[in-house]
Amino acid sequence: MIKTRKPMIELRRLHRFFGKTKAVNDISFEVYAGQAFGYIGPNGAGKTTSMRILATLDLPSAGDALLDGFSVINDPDRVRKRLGFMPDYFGTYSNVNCWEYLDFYARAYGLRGNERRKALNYTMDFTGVDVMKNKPIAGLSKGMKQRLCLGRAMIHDPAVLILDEPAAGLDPRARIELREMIRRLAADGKTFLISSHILTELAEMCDVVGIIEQGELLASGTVAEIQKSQVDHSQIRVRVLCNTDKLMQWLNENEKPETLIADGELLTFSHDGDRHSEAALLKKMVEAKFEIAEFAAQHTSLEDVFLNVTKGRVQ
Amino acid sequence: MSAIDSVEEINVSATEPEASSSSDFWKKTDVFLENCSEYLNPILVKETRQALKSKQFVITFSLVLIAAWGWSMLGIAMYSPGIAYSPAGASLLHIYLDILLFPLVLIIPFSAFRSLASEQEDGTYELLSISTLKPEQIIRGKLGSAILQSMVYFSALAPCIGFTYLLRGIDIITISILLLIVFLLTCILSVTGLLLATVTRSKQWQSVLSVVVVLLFAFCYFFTVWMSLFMNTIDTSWQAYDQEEFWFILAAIISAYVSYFLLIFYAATAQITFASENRSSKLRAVMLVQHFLILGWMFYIWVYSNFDAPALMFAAGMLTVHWAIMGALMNGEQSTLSPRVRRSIPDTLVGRISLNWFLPGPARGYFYAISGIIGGGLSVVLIQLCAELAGLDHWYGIEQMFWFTFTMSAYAIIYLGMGRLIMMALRKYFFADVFLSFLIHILLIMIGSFAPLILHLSIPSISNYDYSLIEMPNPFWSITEFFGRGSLSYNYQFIVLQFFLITGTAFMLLLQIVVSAKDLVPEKVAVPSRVLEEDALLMPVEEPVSDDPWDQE
Ligand SMILES: Nc1ncnc2c1ncn2[C@@H]1O[C@H](COP(=O)(O)OP(=O)(O)OP(=O)(O)O)[C@@H](O)[C@H]1O
Ligand SMILES: [Mg+2]
Repeated sequence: MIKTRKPMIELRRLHRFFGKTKAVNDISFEVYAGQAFGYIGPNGAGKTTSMRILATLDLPSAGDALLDGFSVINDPDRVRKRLGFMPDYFGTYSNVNCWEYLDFYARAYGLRGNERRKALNYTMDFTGVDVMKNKPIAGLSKGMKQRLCLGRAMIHDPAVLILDEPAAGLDPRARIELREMIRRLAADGKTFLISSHILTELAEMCDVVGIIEQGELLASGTVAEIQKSQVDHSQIRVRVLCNTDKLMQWLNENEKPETLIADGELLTFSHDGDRHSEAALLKKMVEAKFEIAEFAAQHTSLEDVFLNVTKGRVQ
Repeated sequence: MSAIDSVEEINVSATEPEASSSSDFWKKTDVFLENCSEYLNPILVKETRQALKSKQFVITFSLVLIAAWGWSMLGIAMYSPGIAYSPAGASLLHIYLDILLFPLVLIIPFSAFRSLASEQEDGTYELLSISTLKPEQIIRGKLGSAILQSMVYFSALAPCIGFTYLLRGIDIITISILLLIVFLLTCILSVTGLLLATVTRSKQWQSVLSVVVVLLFAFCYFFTVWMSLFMNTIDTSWQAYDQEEFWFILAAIISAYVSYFLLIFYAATAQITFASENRSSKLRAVMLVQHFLILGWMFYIWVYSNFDAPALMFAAGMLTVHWAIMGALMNGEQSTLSPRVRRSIPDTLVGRISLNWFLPGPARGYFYAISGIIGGGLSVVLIQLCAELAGLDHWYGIEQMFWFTFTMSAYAIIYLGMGRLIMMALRKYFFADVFLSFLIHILLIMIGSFAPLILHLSIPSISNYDYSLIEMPNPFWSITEFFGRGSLSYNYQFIVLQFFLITGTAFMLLLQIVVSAKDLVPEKVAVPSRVLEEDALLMPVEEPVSDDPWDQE
């Protein structure tokens, strides 16, 4: 699949206000075909709101969102053909089993005859719903529901899938399986917008992430990029076999770290710079004849990045 | 589509043996039905599947069967010795109808209401709305499932009804007409149930609404049962099938029915249609058709009753009420015209002039409604004028007719104008919809009518039962006061009232033109290039196939 540089999803200065609450406040970003965009933010950040606008369920107060070049405001019908949406709730019908449920949505998307049967079989096989085909949907567990939801969202083979917290409430195995499914679909050229609260979880599934809080996009880019932009220093831990005091002195003279803590043989100090400068530092220490038994650089974790970027403000 | 194509082999092997090895009759029927269902509305298919598993359907169906069976036994026992000679058919039939009315007037319309309301509560409606199903298909599917259910009940009672025909006292036309009426009633009540389900999306209002709707349909049920008992007592009048009036009235009722059915149907559709879509034009077209239907029936009655003026006055009155209600609803439409709708504005001047009034929005809605009122009034006055010039017998002068229609139009113009201004103000603060607009207009006319009355009653110096100029804001009393007596006297009250009405109307019209001038004739916007691009792709353009190898990629 050739990745043309035409955005599949494009938010243009999107705003959505509920009274005084600015649920979405001037968000713009683009997601290209075959990309998975992770949408991360704390509770009430405006993820669901912006996803609902993209899914043509709500209208923006200002701005526009385009899906494959079509405006969600003015061409919702064309957007819907290309879009699979998995909301953060599960819509149940009484007296309907899994197969009938999917069959209904396949019909609702205008699939007829063999085309429908094929799409149904493929989807049920793909999401693993086929083993519970005849189960009434009212009694499904969370994991089964998520599978069925994904199946419903992809039944008409849409080019864009918008998943609102697909991994919420899943056990580790189910989460890995979900990740696999998303990877396979993305490899197939589908574009994803996936929301979550957990950056590590998204980092596994997405190429690009955007961090949003209080309706504003605070940072976006690949996980590594964001990490880099946020990380100003790493913590280096050194175990030196003798002359701890000497090393401390040497470090204070040569490196001038902001913090430096000694604990027996262990020295922990802060260090500015990337991995190359860490390697250079190690080399210098060895050349200065220190007996280094352990050298470890601790970078800021994704959780830290997330906490760093978002300020925990509530509106 | 590549992912789906790759499983083609699996599917072929999965579906083929089922179809080919099924020599069994039922399996074939199943496949046949399945194939038929391809062309049916998806909602109809789903709801039928659900209904077959639902307890409510089984219980109601059994109850109806038991009641019909019980009544058959009882009826035969009651009329037993001479049942073949006494006219027992009619009485039996009416009770069967009453039994049938229970599911058809109460259960089915209420389930239609619930089926849409519960989709909105459970969030499945949202999932449905973002599918490629059109809102009209959704309403049609729900309605179709209501009709299908009614068919099941009809066929369950068909043997009983056939039995009444074999007895004396009832003929086939009466039976057919009664069944038709019951069927039409189910359809219109079901579509009303669907419309009511769209009134609110908030949970607590939905539960209030459910109670109101149950009461409404229960009332309809008791009313129809009462009607059927009443009909039973005047049964002989039903034999008038050879008279012209009967068929005229039937035609009038059916045309009214069809137009109102469509109005409710399109209103329900509009309610669940995406906001940027044109939700108004179809409704406005139906309103116009109703306008001409009302004129048509009343003209017929007028001719039929030897050019009796009250028929014309009645026509003008009905038209005013019709357009006042529609205007109150149209005032509640959203005022901005979406680019999607503005794309569809015709290019030609003639097209724009004729279609402009059908475009959504309160500015055009207001003027559309008052044009309807004025147009209706003018037609009535013109008819009267022609009758007068032709020297036809009449006891109501052209002058009265003019003042009568003018007074009504003036009240409608002023009240609708005020309603629109209130809606404009409200819309600045919150999202105000069509139903709120309707309520506000009702409130407005009630205040206009009752406030002066209270004032009037609280002033001891003026007589309580006579019209006074304080009552000017009350259109009902003012109109009956001056036109209810058959002759018009130009007393000072009348002159003052007309003075106020003329200035009020002129002022209101001017004001409305000023506030809506820029909205009245919207500009067309270009279709986005992406849309044109896709349309070009989807259009089966016959391109010349070149066999030049260098031409191919
Ligand atoms: N229909 C609504 N009416 C009023 N306010 C709303 C509505 N929907 C969302 N909001 C507000 O908009 C803000 C953003 O909500 P949203 O549901 O988009 O957050 P979210 O990022 O999805 O949060 P979560 O992680 O909890 O799902 C919140 O402050 C919320 O209260
Ligand atoms: Mg959310």
